[in-house]
Parts: sequence; structure tokens; C-alpha cells
Amino acid sequence: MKVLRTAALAAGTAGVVWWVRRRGRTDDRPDRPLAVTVHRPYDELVEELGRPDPAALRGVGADAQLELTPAPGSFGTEVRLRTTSRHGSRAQARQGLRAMKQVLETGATMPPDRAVTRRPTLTSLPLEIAIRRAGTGGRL
Amino acid sequence: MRALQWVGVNRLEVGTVPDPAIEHPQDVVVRVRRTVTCGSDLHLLGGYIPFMRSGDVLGHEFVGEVVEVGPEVQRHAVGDRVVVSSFIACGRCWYCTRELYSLCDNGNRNPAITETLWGSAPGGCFGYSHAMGGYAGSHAEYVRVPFADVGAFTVPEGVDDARALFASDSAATGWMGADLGDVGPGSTVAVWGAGAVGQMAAAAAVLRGAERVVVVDRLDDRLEMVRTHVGCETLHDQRDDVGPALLEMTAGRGPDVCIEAVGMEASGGPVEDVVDRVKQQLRLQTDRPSAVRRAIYHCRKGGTVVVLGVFAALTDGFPLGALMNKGLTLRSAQMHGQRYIPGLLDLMARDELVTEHLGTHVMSLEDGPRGYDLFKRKADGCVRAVFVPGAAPTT
Repeated sequence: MKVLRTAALAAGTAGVVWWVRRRGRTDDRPDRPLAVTVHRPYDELVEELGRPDPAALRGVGADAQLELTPAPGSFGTEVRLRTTSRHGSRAQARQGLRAMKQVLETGATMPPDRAVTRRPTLTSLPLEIAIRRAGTGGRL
Repeated sequence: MRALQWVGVNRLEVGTVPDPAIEHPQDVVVRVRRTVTCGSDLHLLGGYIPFMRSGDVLGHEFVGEVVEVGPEVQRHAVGDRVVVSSFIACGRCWYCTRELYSLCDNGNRNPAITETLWGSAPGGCFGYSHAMGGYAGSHAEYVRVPFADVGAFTVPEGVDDARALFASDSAATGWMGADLGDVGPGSTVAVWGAGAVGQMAAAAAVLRGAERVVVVDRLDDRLEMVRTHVGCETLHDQRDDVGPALLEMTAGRGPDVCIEAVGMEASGGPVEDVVDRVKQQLRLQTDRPSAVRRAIYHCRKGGTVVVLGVFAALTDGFPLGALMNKGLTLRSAQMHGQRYIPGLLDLMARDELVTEHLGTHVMSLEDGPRGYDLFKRKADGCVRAVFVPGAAPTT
């Protein structure tokens, strides 16, 4: 039973990783801008991002071409980034955009805790792949 | 420092890990005075939520003392005794400003995992896998508390650790159940599950003035605890005919609000149970939702079902027909602790909300694996095992 459980667990984890990767690929259209909504007023954001070398843009690059529009209702401001080759992968650009949102909303990015991994397990390899990609989300 | 670590499916060990430090200007570091097991930890322990690394520190419900303060923290100082919300929220994003703290946009550092599973990422949680941010848990001597001005609350002088501890998660979750169900005077409420969260949901319903509150479970010692400490009625899931009993209580209507407080490892009827368990073991479904099925089935037409138990992803046999045709409202959330904890601490200070009876087994952190074993088997009347870091082990 234990072997069955472990095999099922490993298969399930591998399935999740496959799903993450497959779904990730569907977003690989370079013509589609990456977008986040920042909970700050539009005017405030235009002013802050217009200053020289704003801290919030360190993840996406100070010369990033961002399109700002007021979000509907009380959501704040929609920020769109059209990626180019200098942004690296779209995943990196998305991570940068997410970091930008964090800085604009909270003042800083949240660093990871130090890993205290003791030993690899059967499920740890696909899990490591999932965790490596895990910071790149950004549907906000 | 010493910490209780997940090292594999159904395997825990107490080991030595690096001390936490201030990593972000809004952090504090807390010396843990008490930390408690939670039923949702069992899903991690059993591998049902497969996003734990060997060595990850468990625990998300705790009370402690601030020992280090980040430069931007304004509400806390070294020496403060604090209870901390299990969910980590920034306090500034759109969701936080609407008090939907467990949906925080900035609390989860690993959003891609849950975005893939669920479409969007909820906030982060202490000690609750890399899917929920990969934060170190509270079953340790010290823990880093991000966004401390938002998530840590000073415990009033007259509230001791044994009581305050449960404001961190279980009391807040239970209160949220009654709040999402809009429970008030005149409501009839049925709660499935007499664990800590179910008991706190029932207590919340009583405190909010519900007309009648009944808790359903199959463990006699827990039902006795509900009658003694919460002061409401109980039904035994197997010995009592729950459906007819609820109809009799409500003169044929059914409860206005049905609160599920069991989660993804619920046990149902014999056949249902076997089918659900086989599907779960084979990963054809991740969750066993028998308590949700019952809550939906027994709720009155037009009533509200609140799901408080933790579920991972997919389930079969969900009674969508009953939900739709009876015009039910289904509500749920991970716990918006920051919304409820201040009020709960006030209730605790006035002795209107008592929680200390939930900590049935108080032991050293070094006894953590034994505590989880008791808790998982519900042995020796264990409702919650409470760990005291630094206390002498008994084994």
C-alpha cells in the first residue's frame, strides 16, 4: 500500500509539474502584454514611475515600456508591459512585474526564507522544478 | 534553533535549523511561547498537498514574544506578547483593504503553483508548503513574522497564552464561518466537525445570537466537549439519524446555515467512504468531501453553506444539483484572521470566548512527532496538541 501511495503521489506531483509547464507555454505569445493591477491611484503611479531610476522598476528595467491605465472601480491602476528580447524570458519579465507591484504596494519585495532541506525524497525533483518556477506567476 | 520538520510522508522529526532573522523591513522575529497542531497539517503530513520539501518546518497557529523588530514596524516593540494570524497579508493590496486578508496579492511568494491549480494565488501561510509561500512554520523556537503591523496582535494582559493561542487560526476560522453565513438572532446553525474549528464556529454562532446551534461528529469525547464548553446541542454522525433529527429541530425546514469544518479527509458512509478513499489514494480526486455533501443536502432551501475545511483541488460526487435546485449560497475562504483577531481577543478578555480546553495535550516541542501521532489518531481524546518550545520533553 505504501509503494502504491508513493507511486501515486509521485505521479500526481509529476502531473502537476507537467500541467504547470503546459499552461505556462500557452502564455508564450510575445505580442500579448504582461499585465498586473496595482492598488495605487493612477496619478500617483504616473508620478512615481516618472521619477529617475524608480526602485519599483529594478525588476523590469528602468527603460521598460510600461502602459498605465486607470483600473475600473477601486482596483487602482492597470500596468502593462510589452516584452522584448532584453527582458529575458517572459517568465522573468512576469516576475519583474510582480516584484514591481510588491514594491509599489508594500515598499519592498518579500524575500524567501532560507531553505532547510534535509534530504531529497522521491517527490523532491519535480517539486524543485515547480518551486523554481513558482515565483514567476502574476495573474493579479 | 530547534524545530519540528516534515521529512517525508507521515514522517516528522525535531531537528536544528538556522535561526530566523529580519529579512524585510516590516518583519518581526517572535520567540514562540506556544504553537499548536491543526487538522489541516494532516493533509501536509499525509502528502495530500504535495508541495512540502523534506526539512520544511510545520505550524501556523501560535502565540509568542517579539524579540526583534524591523525598521519599518510601528505597532510592535521587543517584549510584546503577540498572537499572529496564520495567513500572511500585506495590508495594502486591493484584497487586504477590503479585509479579504487571506486573498492578499503580496503574501504568497510562489504564486505560480496555486495560479495553475486554482486560477489565482491566495495569500501566504506559515508552515503550509511551498504552494502557500514556503514560509517557515511556527513549530520552532523562533519564527519570522512578515508584515508584522498587519498580522501580529498584542495579547491583552488578562488573556493567557493557552487561550490567546487559538485566536491565531481556529477561533478566527470558526468566527469567519458564522460571519460568512451571516449568522444572527433567529438563525438555526448546523456545524459538521467538532474539532477546534467546528467548536469555534459553533461558539461564534452562539455568541452572535443564533436561535439554535447543533454540532455533528462521530467522536463522543468531542461531542461532550461541545456540550460542556460551547453549550450547544450535538448529534452523533453514526448513532443519530442526522437528517430527520435536523428536520425535527427545524420543523421540516432544515438549518438556515450549514458550516462544514472537516476538510478534505472527511469520512462518510461505508460505501461512500471506500469509494472516496480509493479515488483519493489513486489521485483520481484529491479531496474526500463527505461533510460538504451532507451540509449541502441538509441545508434548508435558500440557505447558506459555508466551507471552512481545507480542500486541495478536485473532488468527485459534488452535489451541484442540490446546490442549484435548492437555491443555496455557497461561501468559503481561507481565514481572514486580521479581520477577526482583535474582536476575538476582546471576547477572550471578557471571558465570553473560552478556548483553552481545545489544547488537550500540552507538551514540549521535542515531543512534536508524538503529539502529531496522537492528534492524527485522535487518540487519548486529543483535540489539539500544543507544543511549548524550550519545555522539557516527557519522552
